[in-house]
Amino acid sequence: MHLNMKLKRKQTLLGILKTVAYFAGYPLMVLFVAIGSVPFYKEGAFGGTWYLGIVIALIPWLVSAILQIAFGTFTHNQYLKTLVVGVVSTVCMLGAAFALDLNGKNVMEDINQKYAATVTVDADGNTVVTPKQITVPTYRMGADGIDDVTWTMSSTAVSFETIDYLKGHYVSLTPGYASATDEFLGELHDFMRIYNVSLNGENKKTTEDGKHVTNTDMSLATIDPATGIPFNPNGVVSESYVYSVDFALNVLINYNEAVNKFAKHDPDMTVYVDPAAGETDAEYRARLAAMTPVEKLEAVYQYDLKRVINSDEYRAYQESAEYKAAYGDNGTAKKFMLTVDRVKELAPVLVRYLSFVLRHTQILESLGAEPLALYDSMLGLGALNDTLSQENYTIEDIHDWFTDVLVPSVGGLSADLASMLGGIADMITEDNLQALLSEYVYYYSPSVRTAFDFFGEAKEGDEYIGSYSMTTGVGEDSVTYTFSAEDMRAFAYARYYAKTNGAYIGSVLVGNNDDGLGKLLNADGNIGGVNMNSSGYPASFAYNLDQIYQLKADKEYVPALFPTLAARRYLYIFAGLVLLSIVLYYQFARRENEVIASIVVDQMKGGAK
Amino acid sequence: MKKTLLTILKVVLHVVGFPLLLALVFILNLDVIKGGSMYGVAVFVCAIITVVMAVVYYLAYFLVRTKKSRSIRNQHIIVAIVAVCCLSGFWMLLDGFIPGPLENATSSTVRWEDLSDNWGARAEVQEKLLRDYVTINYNLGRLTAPNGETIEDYISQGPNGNAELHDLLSHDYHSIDSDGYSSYMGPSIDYAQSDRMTIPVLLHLFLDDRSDVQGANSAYAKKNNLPEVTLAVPYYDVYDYESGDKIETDVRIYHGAANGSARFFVTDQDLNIKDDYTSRKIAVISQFGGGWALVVKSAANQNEYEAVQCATFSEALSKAADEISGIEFYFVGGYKQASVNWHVLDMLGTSMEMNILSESLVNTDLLAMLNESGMGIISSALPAGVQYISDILELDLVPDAFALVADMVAEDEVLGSPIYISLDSKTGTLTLEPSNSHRGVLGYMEMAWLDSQGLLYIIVSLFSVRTLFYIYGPIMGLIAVLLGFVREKEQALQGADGTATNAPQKAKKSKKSQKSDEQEQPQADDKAVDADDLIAEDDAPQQSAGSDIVDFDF
Repeated sequence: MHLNMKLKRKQTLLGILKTVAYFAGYPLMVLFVAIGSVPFYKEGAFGGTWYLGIVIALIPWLVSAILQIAFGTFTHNQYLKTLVVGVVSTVCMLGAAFALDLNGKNVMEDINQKYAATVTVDADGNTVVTPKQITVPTYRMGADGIDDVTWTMSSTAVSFETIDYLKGHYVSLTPGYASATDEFLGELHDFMRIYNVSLNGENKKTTEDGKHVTNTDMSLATIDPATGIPFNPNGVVSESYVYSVDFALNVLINYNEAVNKFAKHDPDMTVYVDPAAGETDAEYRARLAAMTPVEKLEAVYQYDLKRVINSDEYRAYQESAEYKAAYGDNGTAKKFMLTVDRVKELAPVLVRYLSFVLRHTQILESLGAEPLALYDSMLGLGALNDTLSQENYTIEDIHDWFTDVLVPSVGGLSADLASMLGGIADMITEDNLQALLSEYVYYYSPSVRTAFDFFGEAKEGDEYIGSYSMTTGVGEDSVTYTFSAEDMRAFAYARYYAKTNGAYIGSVLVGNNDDGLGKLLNADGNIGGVNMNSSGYPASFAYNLDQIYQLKADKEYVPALFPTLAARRYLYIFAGLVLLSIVLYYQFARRENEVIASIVVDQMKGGAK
Repeated sequence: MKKTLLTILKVVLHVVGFPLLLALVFILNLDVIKGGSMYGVAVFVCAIITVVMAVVYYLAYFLVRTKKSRSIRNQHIIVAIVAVCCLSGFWMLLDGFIPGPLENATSSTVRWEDLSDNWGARAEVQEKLLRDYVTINYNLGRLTAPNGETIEDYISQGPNGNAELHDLLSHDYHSIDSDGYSSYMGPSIDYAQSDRMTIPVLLHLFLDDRSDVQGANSAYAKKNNLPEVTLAVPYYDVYDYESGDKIETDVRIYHGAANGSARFFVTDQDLNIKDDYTSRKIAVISQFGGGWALVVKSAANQNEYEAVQCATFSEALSKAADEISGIEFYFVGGYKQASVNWHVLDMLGTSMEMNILSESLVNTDLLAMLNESGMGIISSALPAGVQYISDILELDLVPDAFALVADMVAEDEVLGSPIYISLDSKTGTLTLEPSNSHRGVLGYMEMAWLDSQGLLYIIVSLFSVRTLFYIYGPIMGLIAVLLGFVREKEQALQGADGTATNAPQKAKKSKKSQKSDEQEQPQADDKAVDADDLIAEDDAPQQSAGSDIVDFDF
């Protein structure tokens, strides 16, 4: 009985050791990979990829487990099992690690070639490499990184110091040392916060089938399954879409690239910008000379847009049924715009109440004036009230009241006042009012092509409106720069998303530096979440083109690559330990079986007694 | 003796199980049950779910014994698993699957996080919403208390127990829904609710033409085949006191109290003056606070109006005659059903503040400024007592003008719902107040919550047991295991008492169950082996000499 007890204890001990040996192998490795994947978990940027490392780490375990089960059935030779499982396991783990290294290197090379430089061929057949000033890290630090990757991508000097490398620190082990993941997420979150954009975009008013979103006029925009972006029938992205980071990055790249491309041109700005009232010629010239490239392009764009609107092509389109359905009489778009008709509807109410206040309350009395005299004889509001009470009154009627009643009466007080009121009266026309209102409408019918969509189509003479060309230098040194109507069209779209629609959805990508009311509405050129509760960020927070390229490049490789690096790191680290655990596991299992056999023999002896 | 102790222990373990849990559920939910008692079964969901889980547990407790070969220990391990699954597992599943659907179902107005650990607060909010709604409408006279109900009566009866309250709530919700929220077609309303209320969004919400989808064309009206969705809105009729004849119908009353020269007149809905009652002896009697309020205006003292609460209309009328000798007219205010519009501030139900004047500006000495700049002629035209800009803001004419602006905004051509403006003369802050408290309707989200109050109480009641279930999960698991031990001990005692009687039965048992029984009876003289038994797998096949060694592969 005593021997039996000792053997049983030994069996227990071996059982425990066997279990410990097993868990010190694959399970421990997978646990470490899981811990190494924690920085990706619950991070939207790694939404579909955070578990990649864990899945990869499970593959060698799965292969080994299948092998072990197979061996359990077919053979009981412990040494053979140890040897075969050990070899297969080591090959699987190191092989997976090598494969991940190869993948990492390839991914980084692709990214480098895609983003670090633009390779073009000039007219003489020479390859022109234009490097972009961004840092795409090499996969491995060291000479091979420079030789294999950096040197081929750009002839501009990239010194050893500037090469970032990420293999060693996708997640840092050194306390307090920011890892590549931390830096990427920091950049991403900063961008999202500053521009108030959503990581993956957001669709408001999605239909039940999830394939469309509803616009303000109840028309449907179709969601592109690949990108999740809803497009209107006119090709413009729906106003129900909150920009994703990728969308915002693309818009900013298009906008800034257009500005940079146009900056090489030097048009005569006196054509595009008029002198301000009271401005001397010297002041006017100085103002033009001080214009930044973006201001110049903006001025040229505004000028050209008017040319497009007056072009034969656009005028012909305005005769189309779809245009008339939206912007014609009782057009669908009119309901969502501040139209002259709407103002004509509001004005009588306003005048009715104003008349009531002045005529029947104590407001004028309180101010010590004789109310009825002021009301009728001076302001002539009674006459205005009568005018506006008529059905189908016109803006011309208001103009007439201004010139016939108000100006003679109030203007009689002083000549300056009369001239000022006269000036105002001249501006009261239906066209002027329409122009003033349209600036603050922020609404485009989703089924009608926008005027700026006609860049590249609208012509003036034989020239496409919005195309520019300039040659510098002479003879062999001469370089010709072109800015095509298509470039202007790309700028117009980027401008619409960045400024106009951005101001509507509260993701201003490029600050609106309008004057007057526009300045007030757009928080003085601020960007991001400019709304009733927040004024967004000052324009100085805006990302420059290099920073935008950088984030775009990072976003393309980091989410897929980094989680696999968690597996790579621990596949190498644990390769030896897993092998040891397999050897020990089979050893303890063999010893345990021997002890069990002894116990059985001992029990049989006891039973015989 | 030992047997009695074991029996007592068993009873105690049973009592601290589901019966105690049920008691705790009731105790912790007392406030919720009291607050939502008018919703009947909704508030007892917590108890129902607990009872269901208890039934599952006891079914498992007894059903596991049907398989005779199963050892007591195995039986109780199964019971423990069932207990943990019913309590912890149930909520782990809900925690995993509820958040997304809950947000979608409530249009992002109620989220999992609001309920998981804050269900009590949610229940308080619901109770407070009903209290607010009833109090406002009782005081406005929209709840008329036909049977002499008090505010507390309405609250305790709830919409389910009081037809008048139910009708009012239903009309109010459908009005603000169909002529408000649902009439906003595009994404603007979503942006307004998700911290993207930009000025273009606000302009769209204020200015877009919604006439196609409001009133009789609203989705709700069309669905229910109604001519239009209506709301109880105030009206005033004017009666001649002597003859009792109604002399004006549905008039607007304007009274300005500006600087001692108050005016009191009525107009039609188009602001045409019908009559000037400035120097007439009149009383205004309107529904208020479950009865009638009498406001007396005497010709002599035009600025002082005092409301007197009366139980009935005739009491108010006779009191009016007592108060005003030679009373000429009386105005009767009540509620009529009318179609109204709602604007975005009504949806939000909260005021919007804007700092339009700086504090230094409102404290500027206007007189000094005008005199210094040689414009003394203007300063002489200012009313007496005005020195600072803030003094102008405090003139009676300012609120009078704002009251008219509110009416103007309420015109169908403008927004169809008033915005009440006030300007703080000290800070220069402009406040835009929506119509909610004047109309007796809370914000859209609050009204939606109130309308689905019963459903929300079900959810609150369900969430109220969440933490308790998580705590009780492991406790019930332990209780199940402990009950197993007690039963093992009992069986051991029984075995010791009646070995002889048990012997034949044992002989019939299968080989496997014999092995189990061996394990069920620990060998008191060998503690090491006893401990081994605890680690060993109950049903693991016993190894025998010469048999194939089975690798236990993980």
